[in-house]
Amino acid sequence: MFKLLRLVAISGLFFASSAFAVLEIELTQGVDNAMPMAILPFVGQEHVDTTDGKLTDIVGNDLKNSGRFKLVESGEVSKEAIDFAVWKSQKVEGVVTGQIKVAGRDQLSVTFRIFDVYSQKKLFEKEYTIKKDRMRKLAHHISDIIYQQFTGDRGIFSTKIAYILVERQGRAAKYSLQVTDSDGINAHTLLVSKFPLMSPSWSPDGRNLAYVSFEGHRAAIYLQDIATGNRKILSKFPGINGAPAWSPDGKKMAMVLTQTGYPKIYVLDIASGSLERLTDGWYLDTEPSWSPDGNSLIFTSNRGGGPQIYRVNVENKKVERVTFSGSYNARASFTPKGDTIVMLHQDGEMFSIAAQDLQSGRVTPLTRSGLNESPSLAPNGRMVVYGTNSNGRGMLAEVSIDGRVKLLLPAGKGEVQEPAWSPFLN
Amino acid sequence: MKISRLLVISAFSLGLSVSSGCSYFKSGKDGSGDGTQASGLNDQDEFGDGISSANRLKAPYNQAYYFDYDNFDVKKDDIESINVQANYLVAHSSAKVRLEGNTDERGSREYNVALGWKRAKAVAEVLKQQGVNSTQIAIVSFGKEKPKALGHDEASYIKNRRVDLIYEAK
Repeated sequence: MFKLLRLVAISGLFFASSAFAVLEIELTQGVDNAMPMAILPFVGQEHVDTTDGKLTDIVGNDLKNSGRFKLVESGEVSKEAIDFAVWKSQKVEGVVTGQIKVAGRDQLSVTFRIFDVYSQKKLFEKEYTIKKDRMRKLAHHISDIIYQQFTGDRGIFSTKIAYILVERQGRAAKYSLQVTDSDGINAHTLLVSKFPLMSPSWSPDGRNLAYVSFEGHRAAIYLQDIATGNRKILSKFPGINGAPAWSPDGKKMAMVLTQTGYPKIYVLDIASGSLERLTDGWYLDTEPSWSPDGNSLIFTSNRGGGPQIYRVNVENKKVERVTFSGSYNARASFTPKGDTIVMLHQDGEMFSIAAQDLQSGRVTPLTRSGLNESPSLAPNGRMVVYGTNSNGRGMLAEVSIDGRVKLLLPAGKGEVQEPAWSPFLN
Repeated sequence: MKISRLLVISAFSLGLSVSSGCSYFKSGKDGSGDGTQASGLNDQDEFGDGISSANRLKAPYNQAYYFDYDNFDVKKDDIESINVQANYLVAHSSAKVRLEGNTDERGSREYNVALGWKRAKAVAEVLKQQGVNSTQIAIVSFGKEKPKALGHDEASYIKNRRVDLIYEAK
């Protein structure tokens, strides 16, 4: 019989009001031709008293930290119409204006407009009525719309990132599963344990996380409802229960079990509990990740000697090798289009994050510093968040899929590892 | 171009998770403290023996077996001490051990879990060859998640490429 679990699941709602930044965010490299944008102070926002700061500051930070925009300061305030000629002379390509009014006791009315200077058109205008405490959320939503209008890609400012925080004190360690907004604000602790926590994986609807917990000195895969904090055991066989990966339709979980005596890839039907093994043999198979169509999985295996990426067809279980460049390739996942994978790639002594084009097989390193790991793609496929090590301390970093934009997200305390980017949440 | 920007540091610096974080390492051994959560790692130094000292050739005693880089073979020097534990387990059928596989920090996390598993399995095979029943052996691999030494150098890596044999019942 196990000892009582020294651990509790903590409800997300429990901490609904905490809004401190566990992760700071620092843009270390943006694109050379970042688009000049002017975000004008919204009329009336100085009268809005919230703890979130100014709405236009949140939007400005979002856009700037995307690496694809640069903010142009101007003394102007928002107006209904703008003078395109003036902005054109300042080489500004986009202008955002708006106003905020207090509408009732806890309510705000927010209007915002996006102007394209070159086409001299108003691209977008909308009015929102929101509760005061939703202002940060609305700001990220506005950032998403601006980003999409000017880049054509869906914005990721309303998404979240799950990760593991490790705090050590002497021989003791405390492991926490946390979820934060993608800008590092609003961290919520979902679970605290003295045993290691690993491999968070989002359900496609963004409501649940699967993860590995070693509580009681045994590995098990748990599912936890993010809103309520309720959790349940999904898999607790003897040996490894590892690397959970939710299928794109949310009905199945790929995982690693050692029922044959070796780590193998399995697929569990979550509703029925039926389990199917996809790989066999004496090698180590792990880190399954679904193709966007759900018809195949890529995984890490040492069947060819060192770890490389292979692909298994879910129907006929045929396995083919995917990576050939480099002595060590692991923890791969598909971009949303399914034409590229990102992975941990060893080049000499360095562990970097790399992308491989599946058609040509060409591998492009995205990062070049020492101990990188655990890459996870944003749902728009544009950014990769990963774990890195800076001066011996684990922290998160981001890089764009073309390697041009780089960010660091140092933690206020402890070591941060194993980020998992959420799906789109709205 | 380098833009550095610090976002909001602390809107509510007294959130419950912060205060519980402070109390974590002080909470009682049984974890009952304030009911929020777990206590610290209660493991005593189970091995007491550093990397240099040999495992005791007495049973039942917890053991640590070290492995070379990218290697999964039990060292010859360890076979004798594994056999001593094996003989004890054969003679005491209610005794149980847990084999914990560990790796150094290089490489992918779940792949390291698989590697730690391979090491623990190698020790388990030696036990089984001596007649230990597989129901007396539980294997768990922590990969690189529970390092004994926290440095980022070979001196730490040597200590972390390790299988711990721990008695759960004697």
